[in-house]
Amino acid sequence: MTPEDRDRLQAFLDGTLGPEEEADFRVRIERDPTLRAEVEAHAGIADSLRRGFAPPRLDALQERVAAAAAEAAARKNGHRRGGASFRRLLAVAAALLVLAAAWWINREGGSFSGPQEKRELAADLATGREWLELYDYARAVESKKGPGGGVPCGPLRDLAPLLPARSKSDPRTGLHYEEQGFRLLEISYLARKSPHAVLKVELPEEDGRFGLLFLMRAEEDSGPCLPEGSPMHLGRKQLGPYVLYELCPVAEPQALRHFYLGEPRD
Amino acid sequence: MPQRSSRTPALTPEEFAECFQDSARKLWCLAAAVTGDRSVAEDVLQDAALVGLQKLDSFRPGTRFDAWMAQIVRYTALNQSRRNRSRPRSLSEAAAAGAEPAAAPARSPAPPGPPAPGAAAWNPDHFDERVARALAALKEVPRTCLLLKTVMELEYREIAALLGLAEGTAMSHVHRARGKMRHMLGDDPSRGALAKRRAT
Repeated sequence: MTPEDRDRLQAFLDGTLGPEEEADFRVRIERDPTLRAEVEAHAGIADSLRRGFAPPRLDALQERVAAAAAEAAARKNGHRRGGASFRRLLAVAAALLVLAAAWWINREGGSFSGPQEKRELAADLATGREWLELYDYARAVESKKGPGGGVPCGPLRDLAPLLPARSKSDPRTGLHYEEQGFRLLEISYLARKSPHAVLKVELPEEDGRFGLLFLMRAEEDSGPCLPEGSPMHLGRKQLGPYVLYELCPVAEPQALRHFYLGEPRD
Repeated sequence: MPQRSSRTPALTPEEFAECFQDSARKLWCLAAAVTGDRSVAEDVLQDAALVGLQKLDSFRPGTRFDAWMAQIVRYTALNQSRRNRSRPRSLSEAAAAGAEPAAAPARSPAPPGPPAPGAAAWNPDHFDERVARALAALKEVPRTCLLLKTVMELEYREIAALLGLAEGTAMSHVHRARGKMRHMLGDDPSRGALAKRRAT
């Protein structure tokens, strides 16, 4: 076959020959066995490809995508409907929440029922230097942003004066504690209802991974609630009227265990 | 193909679903072509649709939905192919499993050769194994162009738009891919599916 034949063959296969050209080409196909064989070979390949890669019915997929789109639309519409009025409402709610939190944090006796309990809890917490660092951080943020400051550190603040001195002193805070504590990343939540505080801490020895600590009132703690087969580990210890939970992936070394179980750090 | 007005600020999820419905078959074929494996095409397409729904803001009004979505499908399919490549399957394993093989890496194309033992178990009613091997030996873009042209019967300008190519490049890919397939399948076209179909 000449290059011209090949070009014409491709155009024939593409269906881009004009009516007259196509008629001429068909005549040539009938007359030229080599060309006919070539056309049949290509037609055979194309036929095989069409049968092998014919799209199946995609109804179920389209239904799933439509459902996902409807869900996304509902979320989006929800946000849009709220709009500015929702943001105003949110601002009012946030202000009320701050006021309520301030009252609750600063009320008589803080969140503890009595001085004895508070001392016990302080002594217990003092066995872990990390709490002091958590307090240090919380107080620093609070001093920057004002009372409350969005950092719910009430329980820690109440405990600070009762905590015993440690082996080292920090000139910034006047607090004493050992080095190499956890770095507090975030105190994300504190409310009257459990959990009182969710503290996200970085584990410096664990390549930047973090752990989560939940602090809640013991009377509100209904025990571990992780579903069976959860990849998370839930460690628990009661500290006076409070319960402290550590939540971290099971596969990770229990870097926090020494803290609330008194086990030595590896 | 639905196209959005340039005044429309963004694609809504509902419009996405509508456009997706119109393009689903074409996009499925694209996913199958990129992975070289029709058995994973639907999963790839679903993953891509979810990605698309999350990235509606990246759709530029006035442009083609199918071209935008095709990019997402293609990236999703390439990721899938990479994952499959890390778990290599031989053709005979694929045959034994009753599935089609993942696309062969371009560096080591599988020669068409005679059908492997057990190849009859490999989707014999729908696809000629020698054609499949030759197709798998093509690089991803020519293979995709060829399938979109042959199976979906798209115009070259549509293929070009879907894959972000020039129209002439898409045509060139198809012509060369046809030539390579023909070359790899040797000089006995009567073994092809057409002859088999005629025989039955």
